[in-house]
Amino acid sequence: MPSSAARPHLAALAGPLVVPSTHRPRPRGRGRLVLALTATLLLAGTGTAVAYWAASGSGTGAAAAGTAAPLTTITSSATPSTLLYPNGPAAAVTLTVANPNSYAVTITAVAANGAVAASGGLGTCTTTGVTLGTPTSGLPVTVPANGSATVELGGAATMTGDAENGCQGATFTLPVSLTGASA
Amino acid sequence: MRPLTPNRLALPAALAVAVVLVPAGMAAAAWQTSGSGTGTAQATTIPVPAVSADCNGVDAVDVSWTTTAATPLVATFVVERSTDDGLTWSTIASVPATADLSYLHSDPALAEATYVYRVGATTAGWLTTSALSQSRVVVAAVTRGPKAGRRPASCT
Repeated sequence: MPSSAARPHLAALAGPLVVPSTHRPRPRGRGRLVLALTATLLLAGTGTAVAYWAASGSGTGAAAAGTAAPLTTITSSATPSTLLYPNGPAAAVTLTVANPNSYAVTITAVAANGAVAASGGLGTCTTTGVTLGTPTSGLPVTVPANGSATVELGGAATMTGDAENGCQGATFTLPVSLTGASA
Repeated sequence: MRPLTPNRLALPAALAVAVVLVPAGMAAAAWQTSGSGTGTAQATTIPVPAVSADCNGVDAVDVSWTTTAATPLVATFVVERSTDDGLTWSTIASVPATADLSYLHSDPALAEATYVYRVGATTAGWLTTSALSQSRVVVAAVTRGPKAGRRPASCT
C-alpha cells in the first residue's frame, strides 16, 4: 500500500492522465501545423515509393527507389497476326519486354535500333527490305513489376519490293529501343 | 465570438496546400526508363498455284489454275510452256491477278508437239512456280483426209 506522500509524485509521472482537463496542455498552433505537414509528407511518401519520383526531395518516399534498371526483351513464341510481303501493307511486330524494376513500367515508344536480320526463309535473304516504323496500335503497354509482357505492335513493319525471293516465309529480327516510365 | 487567430488558420491552410501540391508532384515526376532488345516480324509465302492442262478442240489447250491467295498478295500469274518436258520454258502469257481464285488461259494454234505447262505467281521480286501440269498435250499433224492439216489434240 503506497503511502499518501507518494501519490503526488505518481500523479506527476502520469502527466495528462490525471491532470484536470482545464489544465491539459494542448498542441499550440505551430505544433498542429508541424503535425499536419508531417502527416502529409508521410502519406505522400508512401504513395511515392510505389510508383513515382518524389520531386520534393524530402527523401521520405524516393530514398528507396534507387535508379531505374533498363528494360530488355526476351525470346518468346508470339507470332505476328499479320505478315509481310513486298510492297504490301504494314504488318505486326511482336516483342516480349522484361521489366527488372520493382515497379510497373508503361512503354510509350518503340523505335528501330539497328539492321534487320532474317532467318528461316525459302532461300537467301540478305536484302530484307524490312523496316520498323511507328506502330499504329499496341502502345502504350504496361509491364508489371519484375515481370514481362508480350505486345503486338500493329502496322509497325513494312517490306519494300527489294526483298529477295528467298525472304518468303522468313522470320525477321528487328533491333528496337524502348522508352517508358513508371506506371 | 472569438476571432480566428493565425494559429487557428494554420491547420486548414497547410492541408489545403498539401492536397494541391502532392498530386501535382506525382503527376509530373514519373520515373523515366529505357532499354533495348529485339522484335519479331514474319513474311508470308506466295501460295503455289495448282495447274491443269486440257485439250480444247483441234489444236488448242486450256490451261487452268487455282490459287488460295490472289491480289493483293499476287500481282501477276505467268503461264509458261515447254516442249521438252520441262527442261526449257517459254512464257506464253502474263495474267493480272484479280480477286478470283480460279483462272483460265487458252493456248491456241499449237504446232505439232507434246506440251507441258506450269504457272508462276509473282509479286514484286517474289516468284512461286507451280509444278508441271499433270497432263501432256499432244498435237499431231494429219497427213490425209477431209480435215487435212491437223488432227484433234490428245491429252495423255
